[in-house]
Amino acid sequence: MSRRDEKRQAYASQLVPQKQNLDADKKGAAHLVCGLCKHYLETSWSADGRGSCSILKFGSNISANPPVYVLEGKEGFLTKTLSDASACKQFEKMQLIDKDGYECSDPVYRRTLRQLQEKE
Amino acid sequence: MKQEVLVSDIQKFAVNDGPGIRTLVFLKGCPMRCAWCHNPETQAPFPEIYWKFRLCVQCGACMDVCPKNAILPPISPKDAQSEGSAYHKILRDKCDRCLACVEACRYDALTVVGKSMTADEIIDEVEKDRPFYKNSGGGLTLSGGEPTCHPDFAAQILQAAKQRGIHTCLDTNGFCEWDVLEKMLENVDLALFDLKHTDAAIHKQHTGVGNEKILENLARLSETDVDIWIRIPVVPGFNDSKAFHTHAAEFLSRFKNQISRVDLLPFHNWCQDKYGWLGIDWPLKDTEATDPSFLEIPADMYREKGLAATVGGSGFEKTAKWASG
Amino acid sequence: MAQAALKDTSVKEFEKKQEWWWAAEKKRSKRLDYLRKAIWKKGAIGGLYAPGVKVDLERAQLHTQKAKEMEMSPDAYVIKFAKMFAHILDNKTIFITDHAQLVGYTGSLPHTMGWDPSAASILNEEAFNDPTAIPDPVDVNQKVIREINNYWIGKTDLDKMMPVFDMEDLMKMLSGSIGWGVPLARGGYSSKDYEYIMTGKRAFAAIIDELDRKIDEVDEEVHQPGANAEISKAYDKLNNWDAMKITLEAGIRIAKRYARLARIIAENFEEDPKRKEELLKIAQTCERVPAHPPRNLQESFQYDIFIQMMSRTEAIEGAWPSRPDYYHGPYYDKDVNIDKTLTREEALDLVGEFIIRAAEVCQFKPKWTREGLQGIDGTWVWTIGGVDRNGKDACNDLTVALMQAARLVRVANPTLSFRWHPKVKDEVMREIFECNRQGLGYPNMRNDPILVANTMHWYGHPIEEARLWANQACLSPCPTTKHGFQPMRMANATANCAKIIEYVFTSGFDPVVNMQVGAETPDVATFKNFEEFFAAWTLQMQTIFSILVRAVNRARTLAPTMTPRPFLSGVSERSIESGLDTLDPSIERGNSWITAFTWVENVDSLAAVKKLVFEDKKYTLAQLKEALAKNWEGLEEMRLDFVKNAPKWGNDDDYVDDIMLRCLDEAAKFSKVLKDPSGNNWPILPENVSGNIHYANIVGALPNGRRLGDALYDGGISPGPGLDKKGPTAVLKSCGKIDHITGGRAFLLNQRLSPTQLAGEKGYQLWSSYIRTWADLGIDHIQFNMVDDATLRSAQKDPEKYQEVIVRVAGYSAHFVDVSRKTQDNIIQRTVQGLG
Repeated sequence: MSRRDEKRQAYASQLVPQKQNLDADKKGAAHLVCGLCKHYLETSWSADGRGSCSILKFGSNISANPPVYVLEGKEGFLTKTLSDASACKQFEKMQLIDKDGYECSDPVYRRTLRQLQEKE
Repeated sequence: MKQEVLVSDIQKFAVNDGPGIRTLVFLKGCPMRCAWCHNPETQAPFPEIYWKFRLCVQCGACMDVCPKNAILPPISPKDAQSEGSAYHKILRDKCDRCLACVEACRYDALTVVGKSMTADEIIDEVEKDRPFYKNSGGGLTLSGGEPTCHPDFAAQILQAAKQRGIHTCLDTNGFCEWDVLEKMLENVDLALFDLKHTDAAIHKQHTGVGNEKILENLARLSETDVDIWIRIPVVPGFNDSKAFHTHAAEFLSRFKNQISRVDLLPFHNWCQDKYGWLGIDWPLKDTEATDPSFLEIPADMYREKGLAATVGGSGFEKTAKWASG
Repeated sequence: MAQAALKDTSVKEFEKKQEWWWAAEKKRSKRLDYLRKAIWKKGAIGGLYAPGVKVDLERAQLHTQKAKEMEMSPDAYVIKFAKMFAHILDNKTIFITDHAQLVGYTGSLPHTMGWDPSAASILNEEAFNDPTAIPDPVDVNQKVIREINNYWIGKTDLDKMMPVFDMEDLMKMLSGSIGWGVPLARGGYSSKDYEYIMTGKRAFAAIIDELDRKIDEVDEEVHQPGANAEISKAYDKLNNWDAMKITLEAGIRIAKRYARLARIIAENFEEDPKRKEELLKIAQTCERVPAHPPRNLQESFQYDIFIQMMSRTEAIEGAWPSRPDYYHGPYYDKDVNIDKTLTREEALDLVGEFIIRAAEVCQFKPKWTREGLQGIDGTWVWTIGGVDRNGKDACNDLTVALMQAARLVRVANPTLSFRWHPKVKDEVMREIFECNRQGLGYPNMRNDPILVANTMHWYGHPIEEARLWANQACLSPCPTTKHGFQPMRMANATANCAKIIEYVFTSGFDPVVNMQVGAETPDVATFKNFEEFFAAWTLQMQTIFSILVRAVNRARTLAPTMTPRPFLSGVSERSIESGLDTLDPSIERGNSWITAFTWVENVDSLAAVKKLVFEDKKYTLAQLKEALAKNWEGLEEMRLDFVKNAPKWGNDDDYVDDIMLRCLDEAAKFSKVLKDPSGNNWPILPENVSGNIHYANIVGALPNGRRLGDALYDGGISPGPGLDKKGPTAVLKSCGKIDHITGGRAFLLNQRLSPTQLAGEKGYQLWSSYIRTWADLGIDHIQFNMVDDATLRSAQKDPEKYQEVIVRVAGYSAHFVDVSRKTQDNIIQRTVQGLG
């Protein structure tokens, strides 16, 4: 696979929208997601759930079986807030500030607010 | 050794110091010691050291380099900055102003006030705002301190300004020999003449000098064709009485054909920090700043005498003489 | 009698205390007061909409429903699109606000925000993810939104356009590091051919007749014996014209729906005879416009609102280019001065309401837009004043009335932008002054002679057209003429310029989004002199600008066929004439520009590197590179060195001012290398909107002493906060060194004023002198933000930033920064009171 193809695949996961499961329930932390990890960097630019991992690098793939961990290189691993991270061994749960579970169910929403507040 | 004349500040966008938008040049050195002086750093002609307590982290670097043991050891910054603290880093009577401490300070807490500049350098700086002068009738206002303390240098500055087509104001307290003042006048468009008090004894008590010479100079000035604005800083407990204003208005009305206007300047105490930075205990620091609206009634007293009067001295005031017969 | 006296005294009291909102409340008519309070605050703060403001599901559902119905339709795409547009207008809920005289709103109810689900899936995702903006019940409606979103996946404009962009370029843009916006024709903002539709010569019915004529003519031609390339293209023209007709007819129909509603209310529900009359007047107005040209002021405003409403149904318009006094002025004159059918007060009610109708407009926007636009839905900058095509003063009674109304209704949006020229009358200048003094923050001043020349220089607009310019968004002039107007300004050509200097140190790698975004310039530690460093800077600048511009060019080229705008085309002479969609670059002259956010940081950073690294040789580039990568951690002394001991822009200091000129020069040169699809140039326009807040978390440490997360500069060519140490005159002097005709498109300059400076007649004289000097220096823009008590209180946290507004006192060598808090308090109090 050429570098250009590799990039294409990685970008596609960010750019191409996925249809949502109509029966999925938004409440409660059903499983481990990238958005709950300490190392996740949410893009403060949009609220549609995109971001990157600050530990894993480009070429990683945590939904593959077995997962691929690339720790060298410059470019980051692009992922989404609600990406399934249950297989990721780099996962470290971040400290949550919200007790009612709302943060778990919508980390995008809460984290953004917190990022803004912290800057004051 | 000839003392160089020092500049303590060049302040742009001055809108209360003559007509239009002006640049104020402050020279160090003054023969008077007015109790309310709001530029205490301009009184002495030599360079002085500011110690700014709010910026001092009490690192002690200054103490380490002082050759005269004129610097106090550090205390906690919080204590030093607390209200009413008597702590002042420099022991002024021991300090000989070698400026080693200023060199050593990395936090800008110790700085020198008083910079040496040539007349041309000063006017180069003043000239930068020429577009503003053109569109507002503004220019240079030479102040201090007292410019007539340094007649040659002051004359040079005014001449350079006029040569470059810049309108000039001379802000003076009038305490000098007449011929000193007279020589400068050829390059002065407008004189901002400070009047502190008409009573000689009271004047001497609060400024350190009598006012006879000053009043004489004013009389002679009014015989030249230089335009005059009178500036009266109104200080509580000194010249804020009805009696004073009545007398002053009467006195000034004698020259009403030469005096374009009288500016009553409300007292303020915002300079108290500057005193603190110089290590001077200022007796007026707790006197509240005067609300300018309080000076409207005194201002009317001048207007009734046929003099145009303002409160604050804005350079954009359209003053028409009070019509009174 | 006594009541009136009390009312007056109170207004005066409020004004004396500078409580402008309360003064306005007392002063304005009952009607305006009601209407002002009846609208919802639609601007988002901190990226979140105000409570109660909800996404409009109705429009999204109507749109989706019709799209599903037409999946099997044989119509060309543009006609399908026009039919969806018509379906929305024919079926949406309409309402008339009590006491209103003007109607028309993009949402179904006053608290709703228009949501176009066909524009971008990423926007739809945000609608889903924002529970505060979803109408109750939230879980039910989230499912509704999910269904809508799932239908549109793969079908939205952006989804269709994505494959045609270069994926790498697109990814860089969407990372949010270097730019802003998405290159979508229906996601940007359109200027209009006002000379065609707003001069009273024609309205929709006449245009429909013209379209019918052209359709018949060409239809006949293409069915004659013969075939060639022209004929092949003609089929598209026929489709375009058909689509335009559909939209215009829908426009007339919805107006009639409003008329019908007004009559129903008047006949069945309204008791008050006066209000009945008003409702009947509304009905008559909506029966007249937009079908026929307006005859009076109410009809003229109503016509304008309908056009805007329809334009905003067709696309997510992020701005509101217009010249309201120029085009509506004649009707004001007619009603108030000639026919005397309106008193000045009655006219003021209409003018005030017109402003309020604009203030209430809102369309759901993505988070990054909201953050960059803090508190407003878009930049509705209305252009007033200026000259006519012959260069004569165009100010009229409506120019004044707009400013008076603005002071009464006090909205954050629309704002006014005044085209200043040397012959503006004192009366008008005093109105401008009064608006600024009362803390509106507008009108800002534009230097008309400079900008007319600028417009001609960059795009070759002929002078009569250049003189007819209106702001396309906040700052960029655009003629409102047949070939001059820009149908789509894609905000995508907006660059986060601070990244240029950042990338010099990281060789183009963006540490915040973890991607290679900029050019792979050599390791900064290898540069041996300033020239090499500057060359790398230039390359990064060119690279970033190119990525953004390429995308916009691509989108502009494909927009006419992929995302056409039949309604906008239907009110554009060049489309009626040619049969091409108005987005087609071949029929316009091009009026493109790159908005340059965070520009001045580059200048200050370059100056710091030049001085501290190359001249003083205090640090090496390797050390600086490491310090920046560490975000100055543990290197506070070094950081302060870069803050304090390197010269900064805005101090009338040639050392750094020359660097500004050099940077602009490089950009201007490159602006002529970049070409838009119309073949015209891409000059830059330094300004910020609220980008300086939004990008604070995206831009890393910089050589001007900035840390990641610090607020960026105000914008445009305004100096960094607190870094202009020589006062406002030095700032103007620095800015005056730039050539505002050839140096770039326009340059934003913000200045703060305090109540002391503007008090009384002498305040006016001071301000006038200041404006004359500004004009003399050839600066193209200035905007005054009045500081109030609250702002100044915050001054105590950062006193350096507020030096220029502090009250100035006679003969006093002032210090504000290092003085005690108590002294600052006193000075601030005096400043706020406006006492000198």
